[in-house]
Amino acid sequence: MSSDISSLEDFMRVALIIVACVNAYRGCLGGLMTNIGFEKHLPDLGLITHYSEFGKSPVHEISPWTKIILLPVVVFNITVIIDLRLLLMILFAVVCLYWASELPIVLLLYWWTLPVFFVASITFLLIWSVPGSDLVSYGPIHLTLEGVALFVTLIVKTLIGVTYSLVLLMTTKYNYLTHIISKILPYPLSQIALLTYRFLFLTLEGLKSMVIAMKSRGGLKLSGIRKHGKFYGSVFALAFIRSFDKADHVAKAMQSRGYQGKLASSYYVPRPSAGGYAFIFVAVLLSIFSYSFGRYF
Amino acid sequence: MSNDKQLSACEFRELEEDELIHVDCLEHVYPDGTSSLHNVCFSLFKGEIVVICGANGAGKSTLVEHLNGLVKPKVGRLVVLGQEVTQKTGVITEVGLVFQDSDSQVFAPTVLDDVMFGPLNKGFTADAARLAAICALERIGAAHLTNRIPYYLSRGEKRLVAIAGVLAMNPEVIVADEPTSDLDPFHSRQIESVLFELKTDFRISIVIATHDMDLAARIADRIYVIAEGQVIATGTPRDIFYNKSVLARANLNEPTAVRLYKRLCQGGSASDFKPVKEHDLVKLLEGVIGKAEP
Ligand SMILES: Nc1ncnc2c1ncn2[C@@H]1O[C@H](COP(=O)(O)OP(=O)(O)OP(=O)(O)O)[C@@H](O)[C@H]1O
Ligand SMILES: [Mg+2]
Repeated sequence: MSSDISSLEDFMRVALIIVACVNAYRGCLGGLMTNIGFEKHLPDLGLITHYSEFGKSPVHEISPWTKIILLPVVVFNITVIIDLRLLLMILFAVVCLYWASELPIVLLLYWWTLPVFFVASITFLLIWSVPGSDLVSYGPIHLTLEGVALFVTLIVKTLIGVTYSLVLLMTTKYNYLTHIISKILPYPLSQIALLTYRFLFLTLEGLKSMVIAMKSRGGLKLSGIRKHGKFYGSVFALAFIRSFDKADHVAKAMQSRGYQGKLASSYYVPRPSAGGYAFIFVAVLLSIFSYSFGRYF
Repeated sequence: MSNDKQLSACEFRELEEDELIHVDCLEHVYPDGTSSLHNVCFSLFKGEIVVICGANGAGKSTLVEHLNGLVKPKVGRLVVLGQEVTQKTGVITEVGLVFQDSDSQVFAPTVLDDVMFGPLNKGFTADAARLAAICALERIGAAHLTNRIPYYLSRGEKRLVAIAGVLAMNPEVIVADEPTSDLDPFHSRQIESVLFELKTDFRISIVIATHDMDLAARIADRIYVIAEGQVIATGTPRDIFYNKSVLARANLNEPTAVRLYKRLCQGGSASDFKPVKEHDLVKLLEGVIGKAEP
């Protein structure tokens, strides 16, 4: 058993490292964003939990299995489909699903900005070399219609992925996720995934107060990113150290309540209904269809 | 009884009947070389409330984390519920530990889930675990928090949930590290009376680490005073709180009742009875006033 526990601590640490990185990223962004009034753009984990645990929409009633099986289907589709109209239709469908889940649409728009910003900053460099009919050209630089289409396509793909993931997280109880993830992922991986998700919440609070404390002492100003580079460095370092410290406390508290390396889940996760099975079947069929023909739609 | 003897030589004692936790000559050194416990001897018997008093950094939390085998002794002997704790022993979940930092103890997505965590680990079915959790929450007056998200709770509310999480596991011993330090007077009284009821109604033994002397005076059957990682005295509240040198050495105050009594008597003694709790002092004063009235 003691070897169990030491491995438990090991993968708690791995989970914590992931969390620390995510948090440090969020912390830096948070610091930047609060200064220019963009706090709302960071997904609020507490709110996500609130919707997932207490939401009562029809989408919440759908079997978690159905929603989880559809995730790879969605991912598959946004990987293979390149037709913009088809992608826009899927985006529309996913947003309708989000709306049907009675989740806050305005917040979705806010939450979209970060991924869009991220993808745009990468694809912006790519679009200048796409061959096709010129819209603007200046010396060796050509902006083509195809280039713009590529840009929009990648962004729509991102939005589909983000929105569906949010719907999944915000309409599925954590215990159901626990159960399903521990069924489909192999043992240490499943625990790392679940703990990472949990620890995000735990360390976030500390991070928030840290950012506030730093700001109140004049740190984290947008105008001085270069000057205050050290500050950002220290946010990262502190988030890291704090997370490790926290890991120790959390591990102790969990062990003393009998945790031995597996989150106990004796939950019954509702199976997909007949309609659910039918929906998955149709979705998979459509995906195969779009894979065969969709590239040339 | 003063434990000066312990400082020089520490000998293992016989395990007594009814002794649930038995600690002998415990040493603890943190990896950075900080020595936090030295020659600590400690006993907990069935059905009693033992309070560990000490100033900040005295070593209370370190001792407390040994009591369910979470931290294992490298030097010294630790026997918990008849089981010798060695490096290979697992955590003993019959001893429920309420941590000083409830922030990291409460981590599940909802309060109910969090309180169910322990029972589920003990092998309860989901329904039985839910029932145990709801009972525990009701017992400490936190039923209204059942469907809240711990992330949004105040520190005091988190503390209540952490205590419920331990209570739900039906432990034989509850060890609470500063259980009332971030609670308002109402809730700290509530926790205090819950702990007291657990002792009187269910004969659960309780260990409390605190520097709140009034709490210790009200609730303790026996007190251990630690300073700089050593037990400098043990005895009944009356023995400890009327021993000025012990309190001074441990940097602790007298409880309010003792302080008032001493001021009222100005050094002299009004009676042989020395009050420790406010309640005792009031009784005493009522007697005096009653006599004085024509
Ligand atoms: N992880 C650690 N590494 C090194 N030293 C530590 C560690 N944790 C505690 N200490 C030190 O060990 C000593 C005892 O600490 P402990 O937390 O047990 O005190 P305490 O009596 O619980 O204090 P408080 O009332 O402030 O909670 C202190 O000097 C503390 O600085
Ligand atoms: Mg402490």
